[in-house]
Order: sequence, then structure tokens, then C-alpha cells
Amino acid sequence: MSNPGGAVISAEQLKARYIGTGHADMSKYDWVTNQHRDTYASHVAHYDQLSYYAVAQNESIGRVRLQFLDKMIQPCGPPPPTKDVDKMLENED
Amino acid sequence: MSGAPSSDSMMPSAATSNGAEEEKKEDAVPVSAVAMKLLDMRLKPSSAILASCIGEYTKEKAQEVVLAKSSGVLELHEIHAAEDGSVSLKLIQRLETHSILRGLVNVRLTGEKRDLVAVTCDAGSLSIVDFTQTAKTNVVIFGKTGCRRSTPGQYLCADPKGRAVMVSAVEKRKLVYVLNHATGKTNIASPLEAHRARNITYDTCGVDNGYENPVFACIEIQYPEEDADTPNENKQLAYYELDLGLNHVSRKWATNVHPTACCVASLPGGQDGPGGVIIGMEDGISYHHPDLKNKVMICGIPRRALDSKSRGILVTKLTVHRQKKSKFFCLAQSEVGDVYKLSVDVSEDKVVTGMQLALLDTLPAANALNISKKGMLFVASEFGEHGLYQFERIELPDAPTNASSQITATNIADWNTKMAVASAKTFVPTTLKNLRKVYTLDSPTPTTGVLVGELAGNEVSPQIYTLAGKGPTASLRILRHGASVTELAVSELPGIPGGIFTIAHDETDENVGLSKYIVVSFADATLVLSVGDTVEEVGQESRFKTDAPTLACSTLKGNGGLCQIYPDGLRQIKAGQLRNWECPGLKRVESASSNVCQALLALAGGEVIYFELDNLTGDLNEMVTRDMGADVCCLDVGTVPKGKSRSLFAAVGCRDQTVKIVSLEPGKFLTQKSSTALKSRPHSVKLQYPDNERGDIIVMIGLDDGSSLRATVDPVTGEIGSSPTRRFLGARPVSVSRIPLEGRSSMLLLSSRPWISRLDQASGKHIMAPLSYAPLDHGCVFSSQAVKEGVVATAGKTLRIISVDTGGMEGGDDEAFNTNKVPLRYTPRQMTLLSASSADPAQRKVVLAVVESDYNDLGQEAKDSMGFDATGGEAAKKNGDKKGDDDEMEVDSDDEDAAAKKEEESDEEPEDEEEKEARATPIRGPIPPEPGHWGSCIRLLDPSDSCRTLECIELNRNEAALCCTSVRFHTRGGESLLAVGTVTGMTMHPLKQTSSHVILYRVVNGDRLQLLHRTTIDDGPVMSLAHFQGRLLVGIGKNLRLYEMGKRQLLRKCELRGLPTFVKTLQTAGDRAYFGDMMRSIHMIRYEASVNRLVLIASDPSPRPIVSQELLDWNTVAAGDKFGNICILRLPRGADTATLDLTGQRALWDASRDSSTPKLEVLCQYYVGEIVTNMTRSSLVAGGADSLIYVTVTGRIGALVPFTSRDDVDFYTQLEGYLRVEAPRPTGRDPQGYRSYYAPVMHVVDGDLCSAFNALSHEKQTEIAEKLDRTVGEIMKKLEDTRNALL
Repeated sequence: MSNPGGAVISAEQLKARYIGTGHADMSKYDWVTNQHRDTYASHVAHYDQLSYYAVAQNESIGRVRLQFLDKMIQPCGPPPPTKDVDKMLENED
Repeated sequence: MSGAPSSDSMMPSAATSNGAEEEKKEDAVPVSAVAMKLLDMRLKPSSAILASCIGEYTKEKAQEVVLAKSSGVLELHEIHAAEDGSVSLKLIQRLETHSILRGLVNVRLTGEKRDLVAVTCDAGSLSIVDFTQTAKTNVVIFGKTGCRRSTPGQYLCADPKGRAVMVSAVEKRKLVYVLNHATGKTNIASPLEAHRARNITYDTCGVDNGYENPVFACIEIQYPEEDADTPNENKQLAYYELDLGLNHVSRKWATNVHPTACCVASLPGGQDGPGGVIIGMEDGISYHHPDLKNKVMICGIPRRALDSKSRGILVTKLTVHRQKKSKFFCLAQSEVGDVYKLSVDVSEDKVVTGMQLALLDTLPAANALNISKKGMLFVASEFGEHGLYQFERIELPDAPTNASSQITATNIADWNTKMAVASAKTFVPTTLKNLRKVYTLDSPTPTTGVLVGELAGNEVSPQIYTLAGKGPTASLRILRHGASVTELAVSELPGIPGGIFTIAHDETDENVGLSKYIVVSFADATLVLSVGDTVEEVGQESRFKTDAPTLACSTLKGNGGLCQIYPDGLRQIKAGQLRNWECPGLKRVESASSNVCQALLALAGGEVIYFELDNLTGDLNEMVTRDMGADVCCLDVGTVPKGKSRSLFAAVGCRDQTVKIVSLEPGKFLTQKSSTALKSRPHSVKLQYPDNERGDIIVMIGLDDGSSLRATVDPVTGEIGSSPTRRFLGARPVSVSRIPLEGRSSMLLLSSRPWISRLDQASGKHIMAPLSYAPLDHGCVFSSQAVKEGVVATAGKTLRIISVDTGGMEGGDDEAFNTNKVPLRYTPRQMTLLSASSADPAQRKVVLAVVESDYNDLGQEAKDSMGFDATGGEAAKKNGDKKGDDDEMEVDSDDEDAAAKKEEESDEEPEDEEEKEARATPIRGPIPPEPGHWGSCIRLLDPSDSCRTLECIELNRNEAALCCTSVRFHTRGGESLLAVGTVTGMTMHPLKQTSSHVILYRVVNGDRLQLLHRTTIDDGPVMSLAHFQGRLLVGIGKNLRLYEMGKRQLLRKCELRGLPTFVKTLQTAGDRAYFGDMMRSIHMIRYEASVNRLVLIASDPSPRPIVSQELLDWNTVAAGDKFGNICILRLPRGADTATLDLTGQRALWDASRDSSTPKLEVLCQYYVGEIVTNMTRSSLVAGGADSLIYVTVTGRIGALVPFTSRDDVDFYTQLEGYLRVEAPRPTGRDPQGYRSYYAPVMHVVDGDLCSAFNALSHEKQTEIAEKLDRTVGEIMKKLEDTRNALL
């Protein structure tokens, strides 16, 4: 992988710089979690979307913003036990 | 809200142009639809304010607020105190940024006397705006565009000493910019990084520590690494220190904060105070300081008595106000809107020893609280109107107060609602006690519905009905284009008048300038009325000729008395004598005009005679006669400009369709200066001299064809300007008269609708606005002690005195609507029109049904039983006795002001209406203990009676009405019934409900709802309803079901199952239904009657989360999605072959293969910038072309107007292209990029951007005009014309 300047940027560097850069062994959980975090961050950043949710839930915008930011921590709940994931992968193989 | 769309199409139809060709191709592959081009026009800008800050931006000692509006507009308002003590916000500057604004902060560079604002937006840039030189905004770009998770811009805070700003992303990235200024220019140094991986930021602020290294406080949390087993970190308060020496940022200190902490503010530090930060969280505020080591000061908030004890109340906003002599206080606002005053006890060595939270007042929940140095509080509400409040007292010894306690930081998470409730004082929210509302900035947010129609019954133009507001601020708004009018008096006249005039008191009278007489001219008589406390008829004592009509009359200056012109001649009424001038021969005067020293009259045949007042004798003498060459229809001698002895020009409108300007200069009497040819015969003409020395004279011509023409006249040569502005006003010949508005000369134009034309001081543009009033026949200026600037007018056999309210017209075209509000009980969801038979069987009556519902709220019954009072008036009375003497207000107010205020207050012992208004505040209902509670009602309104509520049915028992429609069942003989979809006990997370219903009502006598029956729907919430071929089509979760009316309930007829996620919107036309899915865009359905089956005929391949939709024609649907896009989707031609499939097998086969369903084509695509909550296809003028009117959640009303000619398309596309390059970019965002935020903009021209042309410098305007091969004037006129065609 190279950029126009010719300097080689390794996948590790890219991954460190850009959140959510995936890899071949990425689990479904990681991928979904990352997407959800993107979604919540987008909701928080767009005032109109925040107010839309605030009206629907009859909450204040401040409360809705806090809810969304809190949800970014673990949007899809705790990660599944690692062993199960391995097993699942084995089964798929 | 859907009506069956009429057969005419908004789309250019391809079928008519090449019908033969189409027949050939019928069986061939679908062909592309014809391109559709739209122009987006703003009718009302969005009014939501997402952030605001206060400071001195244009000059020292100014009190100014900067508002960041949700549509990307930065507005600078001045807190303006008028001489009479009233305070208002005056718009000074408006900056269109064409971007999504996110952060706004005040920056005062070290040693400066003025403030700057730092702004972040979706451009991935930081801009420093100086409002004295907005053209030279300082922009630094640091990241990608878009509101991304890790692109800084979400949070913005500044060092209190103005040395640096920190820009943070939601996750990970933080940048610190060092600011300095050299030789009057602000320099932004290159950014310093303070990134921290997996770090979510909640809020940031600049810590005040005097002139030590700048420190920024952030509330943040680090989520665990992927596949790491570590438990979650605690939420922390972190100090990031910028080492100015090393030019480096480090995370210096961190401490645990409460898990619900959400906002942070810093206390004054260094020389001025203890420093440290306060943090808002659920049920309280905590104080943190590094010197407190592991200790935290925590203070609970007083709670509302009726709120659920199990739910925490979040403090969402904190603001700190510094007073003189290093005193300060803080305001904290909770999510329900209660504002608390936080006072901090500081020991001698500047250590915080305790805190008290006292209830100040209840205000709308705010996005920003700004306190001015003069004791004003600006509240930018989340929903509903924004307000400017005045502090009346700030020491609150009687208010419910909570004191602080000290705990260790590691145990802070143990502080919970239970503890808070145990220690909290309780109170009942009341009307304002310590604050007073002094100014309101109207804001219809959120707007959830729109309907256009002439429903009032007696007006010419349609009204716009919008549903706006949330909870206690909910209202139905009726918007009318133009200025509102106050009717002061109406009286009957003996006949239909042919003209009306007023005579002013002359200079000798003390009432100079006020009206003395009203002169009403009839076909064969003149009625003279004297103006005093009452208006009375004057007989012979006025000495007017009363047995003939009057053509013109006026007061003469000096000792000239009065002059009256009637068909047979002219009469001068001087003190003690009458001078009559008779027409020569058998000729008669046809039209005339006079002012204080001149008179001009036209005889039949085109002879014009000029009279002038002799200043010495005070006699009106005949000067000169001239033949105009054609019969004269109308003429005007003009007014005498200030400081001049006479009007230098007169305008004469002739029957040969010309208007001539003639000179009235001595020696050149009645010589023609210029002439202009018209397309129609002039009906009325008036000259208007400019208010100031400079500026052109304006000639306004009212034409027989119902249009007006405005042209300039050169003040020296008398030349008429080459490009007059023409505007169609109505169906009757236009008569013009001069009236003053706010002390400036304006014009009143009367056609089938009254209009005013005035010069807008702010923009320098001429504005034409209709008056929201009945058609008038004749009108003229009127002024009395009580009514300084009124209009006396006639309509039929009535005489009316009205005054024009210019309040709604400030700020140019954007505010060209006046609003009437009808309060509602809960957040309105939908509305529909019903046609009902009234008491009079011959007459059909149209009534409006609105369904209102609020989640997380209690019904009226429950509220009443708890003793909740939404106005807060009762509680205020109870507490009133406790209200102690006024404490001296300690905000840095002028003592005089406060004293005056107090005096005023003591005068107002019986609380009058005004006082009530100033004290009113919306109070949210009690918070129920668990989710699933709803308050809801169904309301019937009468639009012909200013939307009076006819009936309001409260639903109670947690039932919520979410949608409604008018339905005409075949079996009921076409009677229009109201169908309401309800859910009971619905919760959002997870989405479930205990039951849902469709309720049918009948409208009895056009004023009452009668319940017919309720049908239980067992498999999902009902979110959409539509009348469909004499039956009711219901969207139930993932299903669409068709119901027939039965005796006891609705009967299922057929259904379509397995739709993607949720049927959100539903419309029907003919045998087709169109529905919007909550996640998977628009689908089209056809009903096949022979086999009683609903068949999916097309869907959209893009997954749009639909919020609103509107049918444009049989094949075309406009849809608004949750991201703020509008797109127009069309069924490709030939896709729906409409062949009946009797076996049903084909439909089954087609439906089973998703890929075989025809796909909708995208015709237009546009990013509005705000979620479009509703739209309707309608025209805003009677008989005008249809456009798509939409409303957004942040209160914008816009219109997408289809272009009608290729020329317009080319013109606007080119103009937009040039403006994309030339328009100023205060935040560095590319306008095209902004409009293509989610998907590339397609076939929609940004009207906002095009109107930026008017604000460009003259050089740039000329440059663009040359490229477009037009003149600057032509382009401006074109822009104006397009707008005028819409309204």
C-alpha cells in the first residue's frame, strides 16, 4: 500500500490513525460496534437529528446527547466471550 | 393530511410530447424520466439556536449576542435598550456559512477590548470571526469535512484569557490552537495534538487559572480496547495543560466524576477566585479542584414535588457570570427547565468551603444561557421561543435551597438519585418570580406539520397552517404572507364612496400633522367628518362644497386655508372667505391632485391646469394650462420635500397607456421631462420623494390590469429609470396612496388585496408585502393622538381605520409572514382536513383535526388529580405571600435601571395582561415513574373562526394518538370520517406497546366528534393511515392492511405482509398506494380489485430512513429522510404495466424475487440541512403554480419550486455556479459540498446561495453579470421576480 508521495504507510499506522480501520480477522461484534459508534457520533453532531430524537422521546436535548454519548461506550453491549468467537470461526471453517 | 392529488401534474409530462413514440415503446425497457429542475427557496429561516455567546463584538461596551442557528447562519444581535425603557434584540449582521455549525465560543485576545468568536462546523476547520470585518474571516483547516466521529469540531472551548482554544472531536482527537495577535491581525499557530485513543469526550471548558499555563478541562471516558477483558474505565474529569514554553499539551490531572456528568464550567481563578470547575450531573452539581486532592464538593438540586422520585434530573447547562470586584455567581439549568443559582462560599485564601443551590425560576430548557453585564439573561431555548429576561433579584433567601456536602472522589459514583431525593428540598414550579421576560424571539421549533389552503373563508390568498412546538409550548400556527393589520374602527357609510381623503391640521394648530377632517366623496355628495375623541359629521361649518363629489383636497400652508377640487372647479377655503374657480365652459375636472402649495387638475380632453399658492397673499392662483395630447386618467403633484418650497415634478398618467413626468419648476411649468409606455392603462400614480437628501424619486403606478410598476425618477433631469419593477397585485385596478410607516414614507396599494411597499432600511431593498386584511377600495393616511400612523380606508359601504403592524416585516423578505398562534395541549403529531356538514345543510364546512401526544408525560386526568398546574399561576399565588422585599439586584446593573424597575413594579399592583405575559413560562408536566406513559388528545378546530377549538377529546390511560386521516367509506355514502391511529403504553426502547387501535369518529354538525367505534389492532403500532378507494389503508408495523367499515368495528379486507421495517408514511392515489419505510425508503403498491390483492410494484434501492413524503403525481414521490435530505423518486416509464393478473401467480412470482421489482429512479436530490418533518404540494397564491412546501424540525419553511422554462434553468444554474466560487465562506465550507452532504446534489438549485448575490461587492456583481451577459440590475430583478412569483 502506498500513497502518491511514494512513502509506504503500513496497515498498523493507518489503523492507529483512523478509528475503525478494519482487518481481515475483524469480528462481527467489532464491526457492528464501530458502526454504531459512528452513528451515535453523527447523531450528536447534527443538531437537527438530536432535536428530532428529543421530540420523539420528550426529553431535553441535553439528556438525549448524554444518552447517545453514553451509548458510544458499548453500543452493542459487552463483547461476546472470546472463546465462543473462536469456536464460531472454527465452525465456519 | 393527504388529499387525493389532482390530475394536473407538477412534472413536465413526457407522454404529451412524444405520445406516438411511447406507444411503440410500451413493451420495451423502461426509459428514463424527464429531468425535473427545482429551485429551493427559503420562506422562513430556521429559528433553532444551537449555541450562543454574549460579548462586545462590534464596539466596546456594546451588549451583543451571537447566535449560531441550525441552518448554518451566524447572527449578531444587539441588546438594544430603547428610550422608553423597552429592551429588544436588534439584528445587526447575518452571516450565511453554508455549513453545519457545531461549536461557538467567545474569544477575547489578551489586551483586546473587543471579542471575537471562534466557530467550528462540518468543514473540518476552525474559524475566528471578527464581526467588524467579516469579509476577512480567519480559517484554519485541520481535518476532513463532515461531522465525523474523530474529526475535531464537536466541542470548542477557549482559555478565559484568550491565549488558546481547544477543538475536540467526540472521540479521540483534540487540537489546541495558540492564538496571538500582532498588528491588528489574529494569528492562529499550528495545532498541538492532545489525542487519546478510545476516549469519548462529553464536554470541555477552559479553566481559569490566571496567567499560568492555559488549562482545559474535559469530561471524558475511555472505552475498553477491542477484545480486551478490562472493565470499563470511570468517567473522568481531565485537565489538559498547554505548556506555552515547551509548546506542548499534556494530560496533567484526572479525577473520577459521577457517571452521569455531562457538562462542565470553570469558576473564576487566579486573582479573581478559587478556580476549579463545576460539573453538572444527575440531581446535582459537583465541584472539583486539583488542590482539593481526593475530595469533591457535591450539592444536590431542589426537586419538583410532583416528579417521580426514582428518576434523576439531569443538570444540562451551566453558566458562570463574573461580577465586579471578583464576585461571581453561577446558573445551572436542569433538563426540565428549572434554573438554579449556585453560590459558592470562598474562604480568605481562595478555597471553596461550601456551595448552595437555590431555585431561581423555571425557564424553557436552554441550549445556551448568556448573562449580560446589564443584568439581562438571554435564553436560547431548545424548543419554543427564545427569550431575553431581566433579573429582578439574585439574592434568594426564601427560595428552596440545598447545601453541599463533601465526599471522596473515589466514592462519587455512590451518589445516586435516592440520596439526592432524601436531602432535596421540594418546590412547585411557578410563574417567573425573580426574572421578567422583556423580549421574545419567536421560534416555531419543532415544526411537525404543514398544510396550505384558504380555509379562513374570506381571504384572497391561502394561509399556511403549521404544527409547531413541543409539550407546553405546542401550538398551531396560521401564517399569512405580509404584514398584520390591527383594525381600530369600522363604521357604516350611507353609500359606496368614490374616494377618501384626510385634511391635516394646519401649522397654526397645536395638533399640526394630525388629521382634522376625513373627507368621504360619494357619487353626488361629499361627507366631511371631524376627527376628535370621536369621529363626527361636520355640516356646513367646514364650508366644503358638499353637494358634489370631491376629487382632491388638502391643507394649504401659511394662511392659505384648505382647498377642495370638485368636478366643476376648485374652492379655496380661507379664514373668512371662499375663493372659487370655475371650469371654463362646459368642461369638467376629471382628476386632480393637490398638496400644501400646489394643485394640478386635468379637464376632459387632456387639458391640464396648474395652480400654485402665492406665499404673500395666500391665494391659489392659476399658473399655466397645457394639453397633454391624450385624456388624463390620473395625476399626482407629489409632496413638498423637506426644505423645498415646492414639488419639482408631477406625474401624469394618460389614457394612451403612458405616464409622463412634467416639470413644475418656475418658468418651465408643465414641460414634459420624460415619459414611459405601459402595457396597460394607468389607474393611479404617485410620486414619492426620498426621506433623505440622496436617493431617487420613486414613481409608483397602479395599472388597470391589477399590477403595479415601480420606477425611479432622476431628481435632476426627471428621467424615468429604464428597468421598472412590475408586480401583479390582484384582480382589480390598483390605486396607490402615500402613507407613513415608522416615520418613513411608504405606499399603500389597493387591488383585490391591500399591499404596502416600503424601503427596508437594513437591506436597502424595496419590499412589497400584502396586508392580511379584507380588500379595500380607497385608502389614505390617517393620524390622530391615539393612532399616529394609521390608514383610513373604505371597503364597500364601510369606513375603516386600521394600522399596519410592521413588526413582522423586519429583516427583509425572510420575515414576510405574520403568525397567529393557537395553543395546543401536547406535541402535535399530524393534522387532517375534514369536510363536514354544518347546521345549515346547504353549506359544507371544513374543519381541521389535530392529534397531539407526548411520550413520557401524564394525561390531563392524572395531572389534575396530582394537582399539577401547567400555568404555574396557582402555586405562584400561594407562594406570593412568602415573597419578601426586593433584594438589591447584584448583577452589575445600572442602579438607575433597577430603581426605575422597582418603581414601575410597585405601580403595577393589579397584575395586568402585560405583566402576566412577562411572567409566563412553560412548565413541563410531572415526569412519570416509568416509561410507557403518554398524554394525548384529539382536537377539532374551526379554521374559518380563527382556529377556535371546537372539541378536544383527551385520551387518557396512556393511549396516544399518533396519526389521523379523513376517510370516506363507500358503505357510508361518502361521508367524511376521522380515523385516528393510537397506541397504548408504547415504549421506545424496546419498541413495544400493550395494544393499538384505530378509532373512527364522525363529525356532527361540523362542531362535535362522535365516536363510532374502536378497532383493536393486535400486531403492531399504527403509524400511518390513508383513505384508499373508499376504504381505509392502515400501516401496522411491517404490514399494510385494508379495512372496510363495519357496524361494530373495521373489517379486514386484505393485507400485504413482510414489508422491510416499519410503515412510516402512507399516501394513496387511484389504485396505487405509496408508503415510506422507516429505514428502506419509498415503495409503491397497487391494489388489484379483481383478486383483492395488494401488489408491490416498485421500491427504491437506496435505504433512506423516511420521515416525510408527498405525492407529486401518479408516478412521482418526494421524500424527506432522517438525515435532512429531500429526494424526488419516480417510477420509470413502463415499469408498471398495469396488466391485470387474474391468477395472481405472476404477482407471487414477482414479489418473491426482490431483484425483479422495478426500482425507482432518483430525479432530484438535495441536502436541506435539517430533517424535513412534513411537506405538501401547494401554491401559495390563489391560482399560482404548485410548489413543494416543506417544514423542518428546526422551524424552517421552504419551497421547492419547479422551473418552468429552460432559460430560467440556465440562468439559475449558471448563477449558482458562479456563486459557489464567489460567495463568502466564513467557515471555509464549499457550498456545493454542503448541499451534497450525503449524496451529490442533483437538479436542485440552492436559492439561498443565489440570493447571496445581493450581498456581494459591486465589482464581483458586475463580474458575474458580465459572465451571464446581463446587467446587475437584471439579475437582482430576476431574483426578486422569482420570489414574487411564489408568494
